[in-house]
Amino acid sequence: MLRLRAAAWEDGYGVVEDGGALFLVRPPYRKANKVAISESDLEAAVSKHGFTATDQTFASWAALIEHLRRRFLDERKGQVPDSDRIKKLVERAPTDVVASYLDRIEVELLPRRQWRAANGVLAHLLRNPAVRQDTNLLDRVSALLERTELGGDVDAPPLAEDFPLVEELYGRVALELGDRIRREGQVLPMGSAA
Amino acid sequence: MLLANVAKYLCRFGQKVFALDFDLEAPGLHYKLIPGESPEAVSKLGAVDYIYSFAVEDRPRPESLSEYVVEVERNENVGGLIHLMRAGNVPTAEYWRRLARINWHDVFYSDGARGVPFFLELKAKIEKEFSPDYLLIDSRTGITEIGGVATTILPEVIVCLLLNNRENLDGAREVLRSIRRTRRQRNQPPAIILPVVARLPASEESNEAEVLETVRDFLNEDAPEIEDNLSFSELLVLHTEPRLEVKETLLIDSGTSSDSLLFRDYIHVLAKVVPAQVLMPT
Repeated sequence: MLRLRAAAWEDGYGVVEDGGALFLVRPPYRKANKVAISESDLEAAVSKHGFTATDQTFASWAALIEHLRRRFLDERKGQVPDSDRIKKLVERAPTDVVASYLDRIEVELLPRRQWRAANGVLAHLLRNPAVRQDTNLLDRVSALLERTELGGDVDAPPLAEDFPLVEELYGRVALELGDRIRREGQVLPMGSAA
Repeated sequence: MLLANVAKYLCRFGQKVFALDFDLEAPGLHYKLIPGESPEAVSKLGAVDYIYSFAVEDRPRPESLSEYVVEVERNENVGGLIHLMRAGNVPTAEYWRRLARINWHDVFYSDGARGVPFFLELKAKIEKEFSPDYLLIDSRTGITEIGGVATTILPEVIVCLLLNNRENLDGAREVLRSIRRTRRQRNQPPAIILPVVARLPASEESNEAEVLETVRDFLNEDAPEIEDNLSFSELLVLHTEPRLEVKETLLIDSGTSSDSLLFRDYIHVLAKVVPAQVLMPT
């Protein structure tokens, strides 16, 4: 059993007691970001460095880190950009970012038959000067737009109609699991990122 | 052997069991659950045929699984029952041709791939048609697509058999971390994982407690991502049984199970998976 003894929620830091020893963990929650500390360090964290004392128990590291992440996001909710800002970002993105947007449209939205969503992003990209000045990018955007128009107006994949029993017993999330696995390219992802 | 013994034991305690052989490259569950019967006489079709019909022939999926499933044991006194969906008609060349023709990339990763809902539907059909108390899935050792289905998509409890050597433990630890991480990232409920050290000698010289502590410490070492740390508090054990090395038989059918350490190990594993009232009915 793990005990979260103190946390700096806005930074995602936590002081965790595991088997009698204290550890400071911080994002991105890798091995190198888990450091052994003393009881006096914990006292200083609370009294001098703005940590909030707490006493919560968790069955696993995964549950504890999930809790820190959720609190971290809650603290920062006000900073999420609105849709107008996202549109502006798409319309002003540099060439390499545009290319990554196109990759995602190609490998995520179109295979999922999200024609309208893809069409919306592509329309904004057409206003982007980087696209208009780059023949290759412009050709790519045009080709993808053509695919979305051929796809039609209906986004919803017909999986629920084809597998009604799955939706009935396990819910729509189960049907979406297949999309996720197709994108990841592994049913059981093994190995670290290159 | 563990799965077959557990299936038989549950049946004797009045449970309805459905056993599914997903060890497609080395199938053998039918040899344990249908001893003495010619497997091809019992059923012509199995899991490979069911997948092949969908993935290669693109045929409509059958309403009923009855063609693919055989009843292998019924205990009328207590209501226990075992159904088996074996891998297929293994001795035939057609089985291996069909297995080789299944393109797992198309099934899971191509545009519009429907492999995941297909396997979830298989589980749903088993639940609807056979209403088992327990669905036991025999999965392949190693990293395969069908192994991924058996460990990340379908199960609620995973019994992971380990061998005390570095090659096996290294691989198993990575798989177990990956299962935890994968289910978390895909918003699936976490699965219960039971690590079991298998083929441990029962002699006093084997320093069993020390071996188990070493293995557990190795499994629990910090992962690169802290969230992936395993933190197992206990490892289960399956001891070696010399007579099974001479002739493999189901201990529960042998008539000598009461003096078998391995049989007691099976019961310990079982007790971790099923509620106590199943094993000790009031």
